[in-house]
Amino acid sequence: MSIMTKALAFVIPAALALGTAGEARAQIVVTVEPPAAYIATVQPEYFEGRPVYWYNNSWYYRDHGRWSYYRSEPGFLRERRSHWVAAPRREYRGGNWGGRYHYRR
Amino acid sequence: MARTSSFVGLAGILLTAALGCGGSSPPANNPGNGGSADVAEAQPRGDVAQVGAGEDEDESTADLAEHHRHHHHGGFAAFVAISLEQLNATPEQKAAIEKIRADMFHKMEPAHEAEKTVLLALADGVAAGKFDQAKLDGAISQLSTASGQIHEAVAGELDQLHETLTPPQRAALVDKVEAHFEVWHHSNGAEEHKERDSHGGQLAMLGKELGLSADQIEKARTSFEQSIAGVPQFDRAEADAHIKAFGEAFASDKFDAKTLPTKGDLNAHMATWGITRTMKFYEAVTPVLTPEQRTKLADSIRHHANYQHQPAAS
Repeated sequence: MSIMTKALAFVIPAALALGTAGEARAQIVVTVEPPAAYIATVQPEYFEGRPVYWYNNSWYYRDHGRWSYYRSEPGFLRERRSHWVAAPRREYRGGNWGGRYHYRR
Repeated sequence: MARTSSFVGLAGILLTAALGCGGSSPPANNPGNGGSADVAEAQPRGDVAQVGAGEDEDESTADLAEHHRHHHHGGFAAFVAISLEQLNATPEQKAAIEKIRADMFHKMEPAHEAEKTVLLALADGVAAGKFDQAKLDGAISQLSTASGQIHEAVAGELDQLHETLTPPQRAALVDKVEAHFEVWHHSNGAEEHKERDSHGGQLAMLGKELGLSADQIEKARTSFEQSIAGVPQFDRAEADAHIKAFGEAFASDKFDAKTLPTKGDLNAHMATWGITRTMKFYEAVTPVLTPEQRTKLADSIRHHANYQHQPAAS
């Protein structure tokens, strides 16, 4: 086997493998807007002059009735979110699943 | 040497092409790479009647739906007051907002009491297996009247609220009022289709609470849908118009609640439809229950009747 053949035997599979991984990452991800019951019960943060809501690991906001989300988490919001863990529950109930709204009969 | 150079070139092209394919994917959600311009539109959830308003999302959303199934007296004013605790207000704003909230609930009290009378009469009817329709109708009429007066009564508080909140907080309040209405509307629909059982439907919830059999649930479903079909339906368009008017007015720099085109009538319509739906639901369910199940359900309704608005957590 020549050097060229040996080299191609390594490079082609490597290239194909990387190409496949790229295709996998390019698959379409459908991101669905937060449900009404969630928006009603969660505390917003405020960023860029509007309320934003943390839902399913992304920040969502509404603009003219349509929901959008930040594909990359803005640093300010990431920093705000870090307070949710450190702060007492009553201050930041937004970070506590099941603790946002209590129906106290 | 020439063959080696060709090989290096070919390998480079292949690797570059491969990496290029990988690089064509959307950016990952990497918290370290902040960038507010990197946004995308979310897909609508679809028809709320089919997928629900998120009542089955978690404990908090289920609690909220249960609240809205039993408390209709405050209409949109109640949606505003409930939302105030969830605005992430600054410490400096909290005292003022809590006072507005307490004043709003105080002014809703006559309607709240009228609703309590209906719910207690319903609980008595469930326990006895027989309903005092004249008493229920009279109490519902009182509730409608009291609810119709709320908008006028809380107009001053709404104006104060507008002054107290920042523009982003006003936008959040509008988001929340609209969301509460969506949950209320879905939780108080004119149907209890089987498809709703898996999306926080009331019959499925009650089935779990009381240990109902599938046969009991289906009999109650049929009876409820026949009964509610004879009641004048709630006009959602009236509420949508109010949401639009309130949202636009509250987002602007100047706000006067008394100039909103929808006044007390909408709250009265919501309270009347909501409590009538509650009544029809329990009247439909009661005949299929065992005496023990009736006792348990009556206790549960009494708990709802005795609900008191709590001060906001400090």
